[in-house]
This record gives sequence, C-alpha cells and structure tokens, in this order.
Amino acid sequence: MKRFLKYCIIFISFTTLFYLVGLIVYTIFLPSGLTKNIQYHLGGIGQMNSRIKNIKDFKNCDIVFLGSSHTYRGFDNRIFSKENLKCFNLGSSSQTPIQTEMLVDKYVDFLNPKTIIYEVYPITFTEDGVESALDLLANDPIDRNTLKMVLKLNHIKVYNTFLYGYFRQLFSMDKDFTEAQKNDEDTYIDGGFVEKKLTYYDRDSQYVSKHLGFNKNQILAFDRTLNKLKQRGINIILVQAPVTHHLYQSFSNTFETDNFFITRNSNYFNFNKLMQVDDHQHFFDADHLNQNGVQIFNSSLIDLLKQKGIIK
Amino acid sequence: MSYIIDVYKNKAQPTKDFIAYAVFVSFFPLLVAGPIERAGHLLPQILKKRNFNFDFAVDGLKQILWGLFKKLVIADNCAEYANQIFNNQATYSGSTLVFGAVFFSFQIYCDFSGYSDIAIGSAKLFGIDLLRNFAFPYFSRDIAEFWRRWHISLSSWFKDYLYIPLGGSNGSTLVKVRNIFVIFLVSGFWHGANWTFIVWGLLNASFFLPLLLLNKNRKNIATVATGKIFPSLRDAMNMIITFSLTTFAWIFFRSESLHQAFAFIGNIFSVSFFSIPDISKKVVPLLGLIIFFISIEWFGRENQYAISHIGLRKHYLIRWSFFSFILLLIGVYMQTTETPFIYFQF
Repeated sequence: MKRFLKYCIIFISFTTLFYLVGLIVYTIFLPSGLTKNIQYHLGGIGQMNSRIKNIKDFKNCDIVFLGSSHTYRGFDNRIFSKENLKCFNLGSSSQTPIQTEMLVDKYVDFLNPKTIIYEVYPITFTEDGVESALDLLANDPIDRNTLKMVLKLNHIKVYNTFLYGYFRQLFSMDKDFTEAQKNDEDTYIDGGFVEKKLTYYDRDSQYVSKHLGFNKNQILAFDRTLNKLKQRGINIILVQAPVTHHLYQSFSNTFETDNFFITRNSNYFNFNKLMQVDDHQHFFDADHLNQNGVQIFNSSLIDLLKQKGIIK
Repeated sequence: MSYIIDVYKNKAQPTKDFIAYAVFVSFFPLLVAGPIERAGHLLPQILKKRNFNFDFAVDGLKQILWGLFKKLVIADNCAEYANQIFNNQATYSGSTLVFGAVFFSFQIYCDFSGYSDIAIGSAKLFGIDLLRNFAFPYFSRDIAEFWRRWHISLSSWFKDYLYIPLGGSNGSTLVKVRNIFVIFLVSGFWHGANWTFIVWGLLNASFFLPLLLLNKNRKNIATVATGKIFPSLRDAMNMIITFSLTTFAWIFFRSESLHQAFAFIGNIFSVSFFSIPDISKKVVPLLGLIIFFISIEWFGRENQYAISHIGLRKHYLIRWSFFSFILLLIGVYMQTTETPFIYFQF
C-alpha cells in the first residue's frame, strides 16, 4: 500500500507537469477551433480588454455600473456626465454575480465610487458563469482574485483557460495587443459604454414560458458582494434594465425574482415595470436597448435617482 | 435472482454470512449498470481475506482511466452530434444521417463499456475481480461473435438462465429458431417496453439466425488477426459488414418510435445519401479522437482492455507520458455538459 501511495504521488506530480506543458504546447500550435476546452479569446464582443485598460483613468468615481451586457450597452456614461457625474461602466458579457464579486474585489477600492448601480438581469443568476469567466480570463489581468473565481466555478474550461492565460501573462505575450475601439457595429466609449450602431428589433419572437431558478452559488456570490459594498459604505442601487415585452412575459416568476431583489436591497427598480418602451423602436435585439432606448432609460433612471435624493 | 437460481440448482453454496451477502447484492461499482455478477464468482472473493496487491490496483487505475476517456471524450462528444442528428433527422441528408448512426454506435459502446471499465477498475482497487463485460465487440467478424463480445455478463446470463433451459442449440431447427427469437426478444424487452427495442431484438435475431442454421455461429472464436498488426482483407470486410449491421440495428434502439426509425432509414436510402455530409468543422477533432480510440483499441484487442499492456516493456516515463497524454485529451476534449450513462435507464 505504501509503495502504491508513493507511486501515486510521483505519478500525479509527473502528470500535472505533463498536463501544464501539454496544454500550453497544444493551445499554441493548434487552431482555436480544435481546442474545445480552452477558450482564450483576446478582445471579445464586450470589449472588456479596452474597459479594463480604461479603469486607471477613472479613480474616485461618482457611479460605477456593474452587470452583464445590459450594463455596458445600457448605461451611457455620456448621458450621466451631463449631470456632472463621473461614471465608469464595469459591465462584461454575461457577467454573473460570481464575476461581479471578483471585479468588485479587484477594482472597487481604486474606482472608489459613491454609488454602485448594479444591473440584475435575472437570467445571469440562473447561469453557471463559465462563459463570462472565459472573457475575463483572456482580457483581465490574472491575480489571486481571478484564482478565487476559478476555484468557485470549478469547471475544466475555466481551469484550462486560466492556466493558459496565466502562462501568456507570465511571458507578457499579450502586451502588444490593442483592441480596436470600433468593432463591426460597436464603438467603445471612454468610460466603458459600448454604443451600437442604431438598428431596430424587427421580430415578434414568442418565447416558451420559463421559470427562472437561481443558481445557489450565484446567490451566495451576490449576497457576499452586497455585503462587501455595504461594508465600504457605498450606496447600492439594484436595477433591472428593460427587455422586450415578449421576452419579459416569458419569465413565469417575475414576482418571485422581484421579491428576491427587494429583500436584498430596498433600492431596487425594475424598469420593465417603471417605464414604457416599444419593442421595435427601442431595442436592437430581444434584450438590448438601442441608442434611442438607452436615452429614455438613462433619463428615467436619472430622474428616479434625483427623486430619491440619491443624486442631486 | 441468479443467486437464488444457482443455490437452487446447487451451482453455488448459500452463504450464512449476511454481511458478505449484503456486499454481494449491493457492491457499489455494480449496483447501477452491471456487469451482472454471479454468486459463484463474486461471493467467494468477498468471503476470503484480501490483501492489497500493487499490480492489481495499478491495473484498476489504468482501466478507470481508459473508461473515463471512453465515456467523457468519445461517448459524450458523440452524444452531442448523435442527439442533434437524431432529433432533427428530417433536416439532414442521408449521408449526414449515416454519420448520426455511426456516432450513436460509438456513443453507446463507449458509454456502456466505459462505465464497465470504471466499475471493474474500481473493484480492482478493493481487490475484487469482476466479470469482463466487453471484449472489443466492434472488431467482430459476424453477429454471433459480436454477441459473445457485447455486454458479456448479460448475454451469458441469458444463455445460462434462459437459452440453455429452453434447449439451446439442441433440438429441431424449429426449436433452435424459436430459442434464438425468444432470447433476443427478451433482450429487447429487458431494455424497455417499447416497440423499438423489440424490433432491435428481432433484427439481431434475424442477423444471427443464418449463422446458427448454417452452423457457422462459432466460426470466429479467437480474437481477429491474433498476433498480427493488420487484419486480412476478408476479416476487414467482415468487420465492416458486422459493424454496419449492428449500427443499422442501433437506429431502432436510439429512435423514440418505430415511425422515427423508419423515417430515419428512409432518409438514409434516398438520393441525398450521395451528398456531402452536413457536419460542422467542430466535428473534426471528434473524428480524430475516434480514429485515435479505434487505433488504441485495435492494438490492445488481445488484452482485457485496450491500454492494459501498453508500454509495459518500455521505460516507465514513456508509459507515464502515454497515460498523461490520455489525461490531457480528457481535459481538453471532455464534454462539459452532463450526459447521464445510457444504461442507467435500463
């Protein structure tokens, strides 16, 4: 038995080294389509690479926005700056509470905001958070907070991409990479917002009724994040950005989800109920506002925050 | 059930050790999907004192590793495409449906034999030697050989407790035919109360019958091309034909209904059979992995499982590198969405 355990330990050490070297060699030499469980995409659809590099210019903000693509496509800091508010948009693609927690741990002390507007799209609470983590692993510097997130997700794709990303970071392989500010129909705006070329949603898709069951790990991460922000004395506003009527009506338990958020934080505003937007005039797809929609949504939010005395 | 029958027929001694009996009926590696053990084989091993055996335990770990590769990499990735093609069969060409059926053939083999390898390997860590369940069935040269190599513990169970009591291959031709159809029908029913399983059983019986009637059902007993690197052209052709027949029968096994199965087969045998298969580039790594898998299975076909003897005469670093490479393939290509074992439902 002793001999068996000894060999097991030696073999595990050998195979760990083999795995690390093999993974790196494999990923470097094979086209990305052939590496199923390593998804390292430098510069992505959410322009997270540019956003992370942009953080250094936004020390001591008035408002920081957190959340999924609804955030970086839904809160235009240019509209807020007309109210003399210095804002930074820290949204990322499919950002779930697990990623939000990591971003808060990493950047909130530097950004030092008075208020955080956290966009809580219920779908992100139902997900495992893997896809969003892959975006961050490629575009956000890896540190111990990243490692904590990786361990929480406990997923082979995340582990592999983390190891490969860390190797690239160690040898500064991405130091010359600069993300294009204009990417197809998207333009990155200083402060984190991504403006999409004005287009209109032209479908009337019907969705199958869906019960949104929240992931236990996401709830825990969400609660931890709120506590961390409260401990720092930051105002927290939870906001649900509007989605198209058909999509919103397909969620069968909106009462329950609203109740979940309101019990976590009394400043919770569901804009699917608070404002009128037109599916075809104010969206470019089923769940993202176009620039016309963003204008209305942001103005309504600013009015509401003024009413509540959160901003002047 | 086999314990009661074996004791009744004096083939096994009843045990008075309740704990040993409880371990026999609830031994965790076997509990969900076999191999189906016999009291005469497993109980004595439980009753005797076991000492830790280094080589046996290492062998167990290797078998678990190969089982994991089969299940996580081959079976689960094949499942993704097989499900996609079977669930949307009307939209695919005949040539693509052939790919779907072949993917399912690999899925079911690797899913079930992968499970068996993991179960047998786990048992080895406890010093227990379980019955072999698969012996490279897709290298069979006829259907009779296939059924001697596929789900061996169930086939031999049916043989001992059903086929032989019915008279086996003794008696008139009519009795032989009846016995073959009974055993394959029961095998179909065992998988579920659905006409698709019944037709699957009947199809296998009809593939088997000519061999029995011509007295050629025991023609291919030894492993194909024993001691050789490549098979003869004749053996290769026979293996391809046998694989095609079993794959054809799997279409019924996989389909939700007979209607779906017949529609699937109808679409295969259409003009679109000659078109270029409609499969995405994402399938390319899977095809490479299947080729790798078949190669390893082929070179290890004379052993209990494919990688049991790989590199035994080589330096340990070469052997370890090979096992680490398998682990790397698992890490890079394993399917990340949970795919339950097919045989858990039976």
